[in-house]
Amino acid sequence: MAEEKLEQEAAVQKMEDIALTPQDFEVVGINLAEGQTVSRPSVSYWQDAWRRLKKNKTAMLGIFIILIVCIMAIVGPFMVPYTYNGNDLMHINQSPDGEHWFGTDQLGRDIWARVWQGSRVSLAIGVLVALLQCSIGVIIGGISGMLGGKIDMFIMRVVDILNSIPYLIFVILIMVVVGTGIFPLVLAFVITGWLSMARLVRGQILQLREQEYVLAATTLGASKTRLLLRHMIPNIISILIVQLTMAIPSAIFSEAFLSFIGLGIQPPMTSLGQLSRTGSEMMKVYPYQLIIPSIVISLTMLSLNLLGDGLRDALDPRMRQ
Amino acid sequence: MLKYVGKRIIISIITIWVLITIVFVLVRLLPGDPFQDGKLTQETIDRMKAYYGLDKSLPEQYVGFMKNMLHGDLGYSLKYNSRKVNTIIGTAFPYSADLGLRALFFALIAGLFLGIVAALNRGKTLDYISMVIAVIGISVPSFVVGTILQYFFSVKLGILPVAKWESFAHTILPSFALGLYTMALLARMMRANMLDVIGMDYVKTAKSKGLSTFQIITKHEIRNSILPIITILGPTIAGLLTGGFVIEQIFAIPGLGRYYVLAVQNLDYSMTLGITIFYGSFLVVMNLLVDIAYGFIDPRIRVEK
Repeated sequence: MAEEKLEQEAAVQKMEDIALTPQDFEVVGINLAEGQTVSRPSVSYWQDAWRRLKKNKTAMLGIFIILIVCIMAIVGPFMVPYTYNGNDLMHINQSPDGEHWFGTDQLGRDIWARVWQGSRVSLAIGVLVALLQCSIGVIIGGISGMLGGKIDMFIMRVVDILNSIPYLIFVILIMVVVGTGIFPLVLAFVITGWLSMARLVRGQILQLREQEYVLAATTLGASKTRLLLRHMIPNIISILIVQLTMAIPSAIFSEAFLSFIGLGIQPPMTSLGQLSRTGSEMMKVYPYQLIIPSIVISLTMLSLNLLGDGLRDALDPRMRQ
Repeated sequence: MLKYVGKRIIISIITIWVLITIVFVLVRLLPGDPFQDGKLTQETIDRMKAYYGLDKSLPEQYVGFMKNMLHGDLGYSLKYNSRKVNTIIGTAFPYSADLGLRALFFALIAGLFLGIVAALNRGKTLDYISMVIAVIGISVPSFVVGTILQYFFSVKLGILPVAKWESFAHTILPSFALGLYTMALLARMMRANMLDVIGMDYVKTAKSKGLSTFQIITKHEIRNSILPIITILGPTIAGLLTGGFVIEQIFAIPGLGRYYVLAVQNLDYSMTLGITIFYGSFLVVMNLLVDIAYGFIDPRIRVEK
């Protein structure tokens, strides 16, 4: 018994020898205060998206090509002493050379000037149509999604019905009534093009309506307009940007398609599709008249599609495949 | 199922009715008189007007117009005076349908194949090649493909006929040019679907059951990825049919698209409107069939709606 007691006393004595202080519980080698500071500047959503986009080589190639086409569409017609509709009947169907960089067409018009003037028209139509389509789509889709109920039912039935009428036939029908030219084309594309956008926006808004932050905003007394403008649209802006980028090539394509079959832009005004049409008539003898505008339009569409794909991957990493 | 089919049919009928009404309104918006081309005598104009009911009040005209439509009577062409629009559609549409079907066939086979190959070789060279082909197919307009192919294969090399629609050799270039865009679209969609399906739990289950790779790919992955493709078949058919306008023009195929474009250019209103209504109704019916087929194949759709 006495031995056991002695052992216990010895143990207590030992523990008192290695008395612990609060300092003993600090983690060695880590400065807690330092861990709390943010060592790198915080990256916003857009910076993050831009970083992902920069890593995507094909998207950067797209941006590069589209920049070149845009710059050429702006300055190209001024680089030569010819205008896009000035004809020179002494020099018709000239092959590309130092004087006419892309040659001349069957009326002696300089193809360099015409191609870039045409790109100007095609790009302008593409951008304008895409912007208008998206705005109308967002407004109508937003109203439909936010208000819900009978209004939503009605709008969606109208969209369903209009959507099942083939797009190009609808456009042609409108152009029969309104006439041909740049403005009727834009009008016809916008009238038919907002449908899918409205549907997409409505679907997104129906999803967002169930989110907690929307509930919170509603509780704080936010009006429906405020909810839509401050909470929902900022949350779908990335989808809108991708759709916008994709709408541009499809508008350019539709314009070119109609111009090619002779229902779009009428000469002497020109567009890439109209140039391909005149080029295809001369294809057997002067293939360059077809090949040059074809390359420009294909590169424009390709670059916009590449950019659109890249933007989709960059803005919504979940979609990435 | 019956409710689902009934609902789709009602929506389709309403759509066709809306289309015809839009056409009716647009005709009345057109400037001028559709029969004023100088070749017709006053008597003929009066008779034509009476035939189309243009001498009656608007509501009466509308009823008459709808009655003609219900009989399937699209009237006479203004340019080819003796020909009925119905006859023109009857002779020209088979060519368009033939071209469209060949293009669709090509697009489906090549597109699905490319998509599957790309997904199974994700991140490898084959994937890269397939997707480059697909992005080019989406970006290069069909009329560029058509004319360039025509130039190289027919004019330069002389391997294939330049134009017309006679033997199988005549059909190769137009079908390819028309189908390329759809093929590219299907390839991209199929790849995305396959990649989705490959990550699913039932594929893991199939693997752990010890099924062979071939069986997993054919029985699970491809079958499940092909289903959503059916949903875009409706718009695809519409795209091929309208896309035919330009291909028929390039290759001088006597299809309906060429007549349609000519009618629009010649301001042949009655033919434009007749063909518009025909195309619209045809596509609405195709969409309906696709929807019903999808409802049969995938039970989730009909439960949902």
